[in-house]
Amino acid sequence: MLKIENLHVSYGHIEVLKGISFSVEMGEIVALIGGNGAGKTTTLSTISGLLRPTFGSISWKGEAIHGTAVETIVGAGIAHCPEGRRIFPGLTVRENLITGTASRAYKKAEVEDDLALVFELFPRLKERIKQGGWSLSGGEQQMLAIGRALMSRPNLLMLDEPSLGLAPIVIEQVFDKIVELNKRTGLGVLLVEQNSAMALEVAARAFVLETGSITLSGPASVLADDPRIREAYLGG
Amino acid sequence: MTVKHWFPLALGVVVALLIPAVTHDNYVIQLLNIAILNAIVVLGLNFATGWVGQINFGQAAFYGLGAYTTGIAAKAGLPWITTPFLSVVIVMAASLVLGLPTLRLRTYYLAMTTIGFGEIVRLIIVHWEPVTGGTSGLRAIPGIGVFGIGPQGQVQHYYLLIAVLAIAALVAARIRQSSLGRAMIATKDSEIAAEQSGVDTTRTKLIAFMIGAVYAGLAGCLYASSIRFISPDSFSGTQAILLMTMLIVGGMGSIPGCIIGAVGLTILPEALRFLGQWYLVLYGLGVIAVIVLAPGGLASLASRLPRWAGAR
Ligand SMILES: Nc1ncnc2c1ncn2[C@@H]1O[C@H](COP(=O)(O)OP(=O)(O)OP(=O)(O)O)[C@@H](O)[C@H]1O
Ligand SMILES: [Mg+2]
Repeated sequence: MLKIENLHVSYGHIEVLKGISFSVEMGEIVALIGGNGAGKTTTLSTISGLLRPTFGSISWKGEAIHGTAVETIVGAGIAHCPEGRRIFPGLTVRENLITGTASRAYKKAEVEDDLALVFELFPRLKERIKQGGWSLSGGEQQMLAIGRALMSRPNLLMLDEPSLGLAPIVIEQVFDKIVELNKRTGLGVLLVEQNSAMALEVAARAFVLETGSITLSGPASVLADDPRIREAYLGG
Repeated sequence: MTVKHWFPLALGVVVALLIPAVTHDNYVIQLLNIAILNAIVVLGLNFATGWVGQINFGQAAFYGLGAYTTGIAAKAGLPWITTPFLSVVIVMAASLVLGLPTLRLRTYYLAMTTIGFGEIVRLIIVHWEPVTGGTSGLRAIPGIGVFGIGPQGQVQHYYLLIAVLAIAALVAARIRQSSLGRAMIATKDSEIAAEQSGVDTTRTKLIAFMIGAVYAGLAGCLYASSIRFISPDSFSGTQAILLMTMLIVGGMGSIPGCIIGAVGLTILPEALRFLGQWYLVLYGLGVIAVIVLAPGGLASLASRLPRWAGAR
């Protein structure tokens, strides 16, 4: 469904992605793991249209999408929940979530359905529904960012470090819900995580990114047992 | 709407309606009329600046474009009813031409282009003397009238302008509650996250800028046909900065704030006139005091009041 071929991305003269290729199939959960500065966020930002590749291609449902406007890509079904939250402090929780539907013309009832789904996922957000985004705790903001991404009814959800700032029990819940959504609605997920153990647990396949190149890939269960991965990312 | 919302609103409306019963001084009423017109212009400025976060110094020029379009058209003998439409068409065209190329760029391009635009408009008004009257302006502009019916005297104009201001504020509030309003705030808070949520930020910025221009254009039309005298001074670069100050002092992003700021800062210089040249010092200190003591503007103070009252 999402196919990335020989993708090169640079910031100025510094090449950060050096020709990576991978794909995410319909309804699949794929994890992208790697150390700090490996290029994970850059990969997601390029897919969502914030960055332009210097070389290579990205196709979605058979069509090339690199060079398309960010909001068009969301409309086409790829939602990006960015690293470090980036919620809208000046909007209420409810408004933040509804803004997630901006890419399409939604009927009111559909919006209410989707809100109910998000609140089922994060009951805490429902308690805060009228509060301003600025007043949320870090973890609540993370929930809101994930919820907002889901509001666009994506076929593929890209999550950049969703566990950042969340309590372990909440992380577990979030991942459970992601798996549940994936099973129930066939939502595809491209997951970037520092918490590699958790990521490898929920993903079907995984890729390891090291300084801009994919060095390992395969079924997540196999990678989880790979001694190199265990040493570098799972703490031995 | 809770008590917290409607109480200050009701109070404001009652005070506004009673003022002409308290004072019969035409000079005072005319000053209030200008204050109301300024409030409409600042409400317009709030779209692009308060809600979308774009710095816009062109608002006085749109105000002037609206006023001169109406002044020139009415003096040329066109019926009054055509003038609001003409003014709106002109400011929409100008804001589209100005906004389209600049709003795609991030950061402060709009600030720079609108400063330049303001200067161009001023130069045209000053130098196109046969049409605009140059520095001495246009006098005896025909008043508001539809089929021979129109407001007579300052007080009737006052009530008409209050009604227009109320509509302008309501429309602004409705827009803020709509998906367009959410898109505006989202664009200000984080342009990237807004786009990632599916908001077309360029379009949002352009629409906000154009709505603001329409507010200013309509206020300009009403200025020309209710004050009936216009000159370049009323729409200068200084006026553009003053409008921005009204927005900041009143409270960026707040509809009551726009009105409080515009009315307060229109009346204050007149109230301080007895100080002569010194009034600017006091005025400046006052503005600084508000910015330092109430960074959210005067409206943020007002919204704290009911809470204090409730705590007792
Ligand atoms: N805007 C930028 N300008 C210049 N260099 C950048 C920019 N953003 C990222 N980089 C560089 O690109 C490289 C990859 O960054 P990226 O954010 O993709 O890493 P990451 O894998 O997401 O890391 P982390 O796990 O720490 O979030 C880093 O070396 C970083 O310094
Ligand atoms: Mg990152």
